[in-house]
Amino acid sequence: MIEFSNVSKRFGQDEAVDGVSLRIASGELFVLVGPSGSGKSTLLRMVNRLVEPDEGSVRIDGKDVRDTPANELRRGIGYAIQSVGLFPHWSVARNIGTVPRLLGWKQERIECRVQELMAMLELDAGIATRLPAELSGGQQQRVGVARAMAAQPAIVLMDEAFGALDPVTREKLQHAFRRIHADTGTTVVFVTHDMDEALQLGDRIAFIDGGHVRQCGTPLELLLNPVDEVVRGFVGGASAGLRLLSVRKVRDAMTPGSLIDGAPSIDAEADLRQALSMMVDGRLRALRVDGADGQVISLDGLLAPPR
Amino acid sequence: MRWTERSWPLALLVLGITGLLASLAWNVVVVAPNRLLTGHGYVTIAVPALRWLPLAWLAVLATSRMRALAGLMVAMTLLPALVAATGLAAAGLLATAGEHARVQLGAGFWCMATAAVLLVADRLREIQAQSYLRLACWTGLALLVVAMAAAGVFDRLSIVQEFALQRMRFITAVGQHLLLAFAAAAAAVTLGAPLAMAVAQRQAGRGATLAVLNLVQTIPSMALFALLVAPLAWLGVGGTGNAPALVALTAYALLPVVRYTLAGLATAPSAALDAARGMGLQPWQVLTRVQLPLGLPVFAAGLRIVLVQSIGLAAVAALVGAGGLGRFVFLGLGQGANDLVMLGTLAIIVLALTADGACRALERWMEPRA
Repeated sequence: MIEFSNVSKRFGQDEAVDGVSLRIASGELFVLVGPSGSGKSTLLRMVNRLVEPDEGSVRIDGKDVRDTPANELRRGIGYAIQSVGLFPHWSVARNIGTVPRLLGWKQERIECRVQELMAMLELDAGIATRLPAELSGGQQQRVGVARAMAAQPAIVLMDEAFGALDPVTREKLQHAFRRIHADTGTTVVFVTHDMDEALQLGDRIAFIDGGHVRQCGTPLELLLNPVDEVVRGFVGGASAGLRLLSVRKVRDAMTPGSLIDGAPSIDAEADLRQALSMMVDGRLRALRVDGADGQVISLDGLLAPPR
Repeated sequence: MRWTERSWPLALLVLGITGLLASLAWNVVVVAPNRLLTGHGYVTIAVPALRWLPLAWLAVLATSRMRALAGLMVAMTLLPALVAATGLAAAGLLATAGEHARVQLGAGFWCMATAAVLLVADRLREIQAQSYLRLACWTGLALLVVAMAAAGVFDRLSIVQEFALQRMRFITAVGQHLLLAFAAAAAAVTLGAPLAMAVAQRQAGRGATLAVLNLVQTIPSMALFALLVAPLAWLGVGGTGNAPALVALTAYALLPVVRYTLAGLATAPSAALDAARGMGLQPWQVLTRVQLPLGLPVFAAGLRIVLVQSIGLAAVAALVGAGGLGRFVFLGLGQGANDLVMLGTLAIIVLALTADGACRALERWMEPRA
């Protein structure tokens, strides 16, 4: 568990973070979202002591981060950033193995782990010996994520880690990362300015603005009950309805019913936005749900208030 | 192929015309009654053994319409032929001159030799020669000239006679010169590199350091040597000799050392540094594993600049009694013996070029690793 207790940080005259308290549960994928300059990165960097708070404290599993020497602390926390920051003179494999090597792992164990991570992030094993400059942007980001997770840290910090990618590559990586997170049970703190990314990834989201937490909750809570106009403007706007559909699953909105055999069907784990898209595409009012006999997803189901 | 279809080989034309004019207009050798008196000059067509030179330059110009390889062949032949013929011509001229007569190399010779060297370099670039071919060409030419020297082809040239008189002193001077230059470079690196690392992160410190070092650089070298005499004498290390020379050369070398160290450290992308810190590398690990290896080519380039600069500046150190090749230059200036000046100057040029070439080779060797 990561706990921010009333932390503040000033840079010169600017109050970057102002009295923030947050509690992030173990295994959670927690997103800090907000406009640029809102203090979300500063907050993130307090966890691994790249930034020391002026006031308040950050505790990991009840222990103040300041009680652990900075370098030791950082080796136990994964760190991935938007500009990736791969070491240009090291091969992909060596980059990924940075922290395990710092921790003094045996060579075979490092090699083994590197192979495992490359498979996990769907990187071709053949690029292990390449230099970062020879990779595409998407591959670099994947290597960056692999490097952050190399030493099996309990916590991974990601600062706009998918920020520099084109939408298609980005979505692929988000899906891959969601799956990896579910498999490993790592606590992830993820910073982004992109609300769609936050809604897509986050178990919970904290909306940060002007160094304060304006609202903290699940994606659905933020969408349904924004606390004020600022949050409403950021989460909602013109696409609020579509976003609401994208964070809910077919499983949560299906209703009893039956359709003729051979009618198009959708997976119960797909989101409602995909369901709507299929309906519009096929000019249908309802779809069968795979693996759920006697259940359908209909236009009325989409419009019904979330349960 | 028609003229319009490819670009003009401008360098070749300029060098060829320069060589041709030099061969026709300037003295290739000067025969003087002794080593100090002014002599009588000869252009190429006045000396039987050298009459072919204007034709050779015309041949160079003719290759402008052929492949670059043809130009390279002509240039590679012209250069050793020029020095050999000049050496032999000197012997011929001396046979009919007086007992103390000297044959000095004239402006025409230096001009043609320089043009021929540049021509080889230009043609090598034009054929896009691999580095081993370049190395082979230059080493071949150097060995050829050394072999001719060993065979006594140049023995009747005044500059070689000066060398023969000063042989032991010359060899000692080369040693002193190199020692001085390398010691200054080493001292500058020892002082400058940690200084640069210390101020690299501090905007104000960096500005102040560079301002001071820039100021040092603007002091004329002779003035700096003179300025150091009094304080060093007061310190008891002696105002003349090696101490002030070393101090002054080190002071001059500090600016490039600091500049290049800063540039080398800045080679590492800031994102990589952030990631390195964020993953728990200690500051010294960030330095040794990320910044130093990434900056290596830049550091090597800096070292090259510092060495070449120090070898050049060390000539002036002779003024404060530090020895080195500068002694011959100032001795020759004092006596009016141009060949002695030339002996010192040529040796310094060769040393500087050799240091430059060796460092460049080192840089190329390092680059793919970094």
